[in-house]
Amino acid sequence: MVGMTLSYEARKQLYLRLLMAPALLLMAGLIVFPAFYAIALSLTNEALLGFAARDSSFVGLRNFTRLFTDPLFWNSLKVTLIFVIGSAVIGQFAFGLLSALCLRRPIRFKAIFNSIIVLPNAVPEMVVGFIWISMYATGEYGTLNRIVGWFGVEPQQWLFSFPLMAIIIVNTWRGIAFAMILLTSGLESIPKDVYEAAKVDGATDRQIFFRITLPMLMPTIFLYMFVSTVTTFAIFGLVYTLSRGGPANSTEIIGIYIYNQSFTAFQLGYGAAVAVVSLVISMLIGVFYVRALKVKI
Amino acid sequence: MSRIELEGVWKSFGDVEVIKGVDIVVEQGEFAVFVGPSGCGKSTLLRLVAGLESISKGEFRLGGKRMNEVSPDRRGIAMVFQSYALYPHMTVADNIGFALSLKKIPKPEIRKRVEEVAAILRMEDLLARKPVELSGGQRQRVAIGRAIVKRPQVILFDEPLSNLDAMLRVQMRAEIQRLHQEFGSTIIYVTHDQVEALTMAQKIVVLQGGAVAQIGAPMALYKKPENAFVAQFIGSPKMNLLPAQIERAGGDSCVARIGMQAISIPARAGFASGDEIRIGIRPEHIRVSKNGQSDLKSSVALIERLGSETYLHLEAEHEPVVVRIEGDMQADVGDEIGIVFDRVHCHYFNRSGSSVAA
Repeated sequence: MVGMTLSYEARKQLYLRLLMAPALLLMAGLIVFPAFYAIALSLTNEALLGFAARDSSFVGLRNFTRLFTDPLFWNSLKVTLIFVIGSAVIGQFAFGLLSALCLRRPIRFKAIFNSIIVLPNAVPEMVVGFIWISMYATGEYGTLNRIVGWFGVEPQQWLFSFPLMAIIIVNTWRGIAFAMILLTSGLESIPKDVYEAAKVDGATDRQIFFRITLPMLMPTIFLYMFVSTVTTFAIFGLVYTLSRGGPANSTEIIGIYIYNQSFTAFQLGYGAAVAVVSLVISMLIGVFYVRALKVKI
Repeated sequence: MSRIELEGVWKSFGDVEVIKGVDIVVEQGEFAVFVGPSGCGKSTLLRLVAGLESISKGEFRLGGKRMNEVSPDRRGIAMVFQSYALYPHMTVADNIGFALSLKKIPKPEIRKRVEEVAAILRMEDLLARKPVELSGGQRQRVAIGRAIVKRPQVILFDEPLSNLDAMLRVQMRAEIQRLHQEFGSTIIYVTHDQVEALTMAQKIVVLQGGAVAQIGAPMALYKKPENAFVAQFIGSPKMNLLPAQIERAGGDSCVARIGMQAISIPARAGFASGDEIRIGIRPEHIRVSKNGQSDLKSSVALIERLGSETYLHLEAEHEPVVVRIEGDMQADVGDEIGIVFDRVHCHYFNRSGSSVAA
């Protein structure tokens, strides 16, 4: 009977809220609650070993003051920054844009090229990790070593000699598809007759790219940068499988650092503090994109 | 320098032939209108001239020079698109000045020319705005400004007024004509609206199914259509076409039968007894009989009163006939009335649709 008295608008609102409810519940349970739990945890000396494990106590901001003087934390931030810029901002974006531009033209074997680019994204990140462990394997049987061997290069220890570069390459390879798909949709939204008008106006291909395509693609580029920066910042499984943050913390991105502090050093409180800081950084990045660059989500 | 010649031009997309051997000449400084129904190939023809599509067969010459292989940017042609195709991320000033900036013309010179064009199009106060902040008519002005700032030899218009409301359309029509007189560029203007064609053109090219149906001055097409298609396409409301059969030919006049009724028509060289023809007559050349004597009896199906004139939609021998009458007329749906054809303005078309000359 109550339903009968509601207006059409109100019933529609109710219906939409019901539709959103499962997603909101999941987000509350799996994201919002853990975030607040982490904040609470970060203010304690909770641990898995020692006295604190049995009897943890409130320590205020001690974990945070410790964190800012911890060279390993700053190292992990630096590594994360290089990883994000190298793989998401430069690698995935450049190759994604190039692929999007190339695959819009009528070229032969387009479907095959498309599959080659999209497949890595469909593979779970742990599996990607194992594929590339085999690729980077040391000794003459490592795939990459065999390839460079054809050109007379000695077998390398890729994950030891160029660890950060190695994980940047893997993440770039895996993420090109996302960049390509998003940028392709951005390119599609540029009307054909704008290009034609530019051609008639006398623009060369190069001028069209820099003065029409790129500026008109900017909203999509910023949206891509926003999503990829935040998701790459939070990567864990791929790097954990490949290097576990080593050698000597050289690939210890912030996700790995949190894991290592919490579950290798068993300092849950301190690990939570790092997690809270990483959450704040992610949120600041998000706010920057939305406010300063006017990204429409 | 800007005489346009299309000679034996064909264009096909895969197996589909869109333009089928077109020969058209547009003289320097002439205002030519390509007109025809949707799908007749008029826009494709324009794109061939602009260089946005390549010619499959035949030749396009501009000022005597073959242009088939010349890229759009080197043809010295400007184009105004149906959708305006403004650059959404640029201001009006940047849109207009874009072509000049590509040529690395110094900025003060660009600004001067943009301001000149803005003054001509009366949009000086819009220069700092983005296209999204403009109305349809204003966008159209910017598109035209972008074309004329280059001082091109040839300007192509692709249905430029079709997205505007009726009043703006009349206004822009006058404006485009004024610009043509001022600049003297050769203009090709594509439209499906025969009113635009009649009011603006010095030369009309009527296209049908990818081929030229007739080329001529507006009044020549109106008065002497070479075929039934042009006869019906040019003029509004369209010409009445009544199927008839020659009953008796010979002498100065012959008798044609429309359904059960007979009508005498002037003799033509091509007529023979039994020929099936179509008699064409425009609504303004038919009058309602007042003395009982008429060519054809009909009944009123619909009356449209526009104040200054009235359109009577009649049915005679199961064929629709439209009659235009000055002022108002007292009649009701279902009334039986007799109509009289002004023989001087009758057109006769044979079975294939070609005009039968006197």
